[in-house]
Amino acid sequence: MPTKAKLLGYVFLGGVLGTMLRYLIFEALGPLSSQPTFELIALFVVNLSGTFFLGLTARYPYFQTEVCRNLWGVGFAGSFTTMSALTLWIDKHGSSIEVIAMLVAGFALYWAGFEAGRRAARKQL
Amino acid sequence: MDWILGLLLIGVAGGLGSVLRALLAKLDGWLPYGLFLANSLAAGLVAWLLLDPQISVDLVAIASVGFAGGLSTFSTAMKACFDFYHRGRLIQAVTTMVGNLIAPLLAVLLAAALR
Repeated sequence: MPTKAKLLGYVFLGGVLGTMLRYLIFEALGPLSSQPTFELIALFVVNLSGTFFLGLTARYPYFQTEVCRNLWGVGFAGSFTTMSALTLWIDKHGSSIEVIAMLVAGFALYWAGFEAGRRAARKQL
Repeated sequence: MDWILGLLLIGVAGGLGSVLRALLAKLDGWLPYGLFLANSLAAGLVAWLLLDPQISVDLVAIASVGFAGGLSTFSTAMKACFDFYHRGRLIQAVTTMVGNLIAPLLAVLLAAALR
């Protein structure tokens, strides 16, 4: 069984990968940056895909070890998605239908990922 | 700053933010207080940095996109909300959802007031 320090090491590694991928996605969407909604589009992409992935890690058989949960769940998915950028967007533009849509979609996509993982786990039985 | 070096530094800062978030997550009770704290600290830090024109652009990117981005999390907030909902705890689910928006916004206002 891995020690707590080792598990935090996996969180760190996942955090590095998730943060770098988020940064690269924002950079890749750079050509849209002239649009006022650029940041919101990028936030939708990372937050919703990352939330679906975290839902998947909750039940999908491959992720059912402490190492995988810390690496891909807590570290990768946790750092790939961001609340601070969303908060600053709300502070700048105010709460809007898009923000509410992101919250509702985030909840639904976590659920969808959770169910997809559960179905995969049942198939393995 | 070199693009690759910048990417690596942002990544390492994000990793450190993730570790701090994992440690704060232990502050759990009726609500995920550690999660509120992590998201609030990250939002407050970014607001604080953006209000200081003397801090270099590179440092702001590493601290905000990297550290604060790794510290704050949208997906874990949705997970916490879903976990409460799944167990039939609707009040805690809604409070978690709303709290993860309001607490970081208050941190931004606090950072602005302290500047």
